[in-house]
Amino acid sequence: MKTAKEESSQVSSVTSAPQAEPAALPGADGAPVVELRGVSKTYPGGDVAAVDNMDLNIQEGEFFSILGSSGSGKTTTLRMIAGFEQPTKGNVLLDGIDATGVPPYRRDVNTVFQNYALFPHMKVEANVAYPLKMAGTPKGEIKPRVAEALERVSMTGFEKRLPHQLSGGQRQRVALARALIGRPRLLLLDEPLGALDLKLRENMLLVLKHLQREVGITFIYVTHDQGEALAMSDRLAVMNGGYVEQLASPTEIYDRPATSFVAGFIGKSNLLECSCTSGDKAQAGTMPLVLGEAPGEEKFTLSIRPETIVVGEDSRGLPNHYEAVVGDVLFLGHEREVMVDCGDQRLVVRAGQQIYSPGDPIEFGWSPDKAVIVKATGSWQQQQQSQDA
Amino acid sequence: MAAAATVARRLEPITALPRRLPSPIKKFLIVSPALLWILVLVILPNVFLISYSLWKNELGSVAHVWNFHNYSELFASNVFTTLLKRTLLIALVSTTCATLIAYPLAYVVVTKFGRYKTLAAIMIIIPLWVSYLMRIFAWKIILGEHGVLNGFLESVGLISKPSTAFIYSTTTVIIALTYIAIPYVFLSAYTSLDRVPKHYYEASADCGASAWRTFRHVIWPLTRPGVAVGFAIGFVLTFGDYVTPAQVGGLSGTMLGSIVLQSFGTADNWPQGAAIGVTIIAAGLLVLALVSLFTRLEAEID
Repeated sequence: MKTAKEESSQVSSVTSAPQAEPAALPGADGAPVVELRGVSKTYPGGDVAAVDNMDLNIQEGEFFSILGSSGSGKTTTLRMIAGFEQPTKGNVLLDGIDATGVPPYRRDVNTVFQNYALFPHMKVEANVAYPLKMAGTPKGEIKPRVAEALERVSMTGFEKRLPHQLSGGQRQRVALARALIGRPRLLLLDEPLGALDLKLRENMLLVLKHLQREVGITFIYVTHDQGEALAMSDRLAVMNGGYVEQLASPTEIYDRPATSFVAGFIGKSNLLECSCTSGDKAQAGTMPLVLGEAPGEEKFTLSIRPETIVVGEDSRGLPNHYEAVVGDVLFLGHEREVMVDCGDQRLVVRAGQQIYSPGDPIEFGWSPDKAVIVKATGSWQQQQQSQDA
Repeated sequence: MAAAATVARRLEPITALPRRLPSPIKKFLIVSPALLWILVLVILPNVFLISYSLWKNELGSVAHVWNFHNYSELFASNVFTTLLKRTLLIALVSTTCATLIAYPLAYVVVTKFGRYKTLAAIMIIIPLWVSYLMRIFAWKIILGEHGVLNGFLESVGLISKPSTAFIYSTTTVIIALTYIAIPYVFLSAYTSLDRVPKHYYEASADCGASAWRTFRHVIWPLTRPGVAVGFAIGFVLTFGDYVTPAQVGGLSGTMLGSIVLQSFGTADNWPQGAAIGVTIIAAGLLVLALVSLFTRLEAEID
């Protein structure tokens, strides 16, 4: 049974995820810095794969994010690239060379750990100099490079401190300096801002983005924070349950989510369970709908972002136009979020500055091209399993 | 007016003063059990011991005359200085051997045994459950003239008749004391190694350090204090021991502990025994002071 599964998943080496068209890549002509080929990882004692048959290409100079909730396999993926974990199946290629089984210290990859992992008995300068010392860099060269690395993260003057004498944000900067000083080909960041408070996090986001542009090193950034991922990345992979749900540019992912999971995980979305009635017409409960294109299947899920829904008189004339009743109103500061009850469906719309109260009549609508048909999450997994059976 | 009064009453629990801090007498009562413990079990016995060592022995009875006679006599005596040197040597060598065995053992257990490491650690310290005397007798059975080792060597034909070289010597004492000290050093080394988070190993490997260099630059500096403490415990244990030399040491394996026993027992010379005891404590403290130089670590493992 198990071997049959392994074989079939090896044969179907097509990407494990329902990917959208590949987005335009910066520097897509060179060999990928990182390539994962059919990588799976099952931890000893676990019966579910943490990462399942994953394919991934990361290009030179890219800021690539892996986004997912805890247990989605994003950290496992990162640890396999760093070499801390070995894939159960598949290959990890660095710069086109198979690095599967190569220990971490022989990889031209550096990691910024979530808990910084600065050596507590070494002063800041010794911590930052450590990779150079291990690489056998001449002594005379180490000192200016440490100074340069610390200056780059605005930590000049902290050379003689011990890690426990620094604040969280300062430790983070030192960890960053230590990871960058060896000028690696690839920098892995494992939720580096997770332990910082909001203000500091925003500040560090800018520092990171700046640094990446300055040094031109490929960054792989693992996070569970969709805001960070959208703001920073050239491309991002959304992971769920060991699979890549979607791999695309931030705008692509936001505007055209591939699955209901992506639509719900990133931003807010109205997900309507629809059934096709004829051609590009469909029905969600009692709501009739006009679609931009004919759906491939009879039953499908439609995702509509609240901000693409036009509220008020402007919505008249749109193919999808409804009159409904306001259910609840949430005041969010910069705008108001209105729950509307339309037939047996409840939708979220953005009301801007208009004031509605529960029970008020409201009209709204959207143009068909704003609604995206998404696959049910895990549908391809089920397909794969039914193939195996 | 009435309403204001109600509000005031409602506020009362909040504005009420906190409970008073304990009075000095109460504080004293709280710490008194600890003070009593220290006084009766630490200070008084040592005062007695030191007093005895400064009194004079007159044919088995103690004359309360203060002098340093016992000490000057001890250090003038060849037997004592030889024994002191030998005891220091035996204790240092066996504790060092125990550390050289226990620390790598603890390193392997912590880094390679994964979730079985607690089990492995318990297996290693389980000998502590067995009576001390039984463990020494076990060594006698192994190393004795008609022991397991001789039997084995005879059966494979390496020797023709049982050898007496294995027992009743300084080496035998060192072997037995090493064995006695291992679990203690192991426990201390294991605790300090186990406290080093896994991500330090990973961060070091990530920075390009091999396992050996990770050990040398990161793990050893962080665990050295724990090893030093283990070494100190092992040293104190082996330095004052008298059971092991008495059982497996023979004449050439005699240690200071044996003559303490003699002085308080057959020789009935308590002041002299006390003086030797004080010397043992002083030597122990000296080694502890030296070892404490290695326990200093400015860092905090978070």
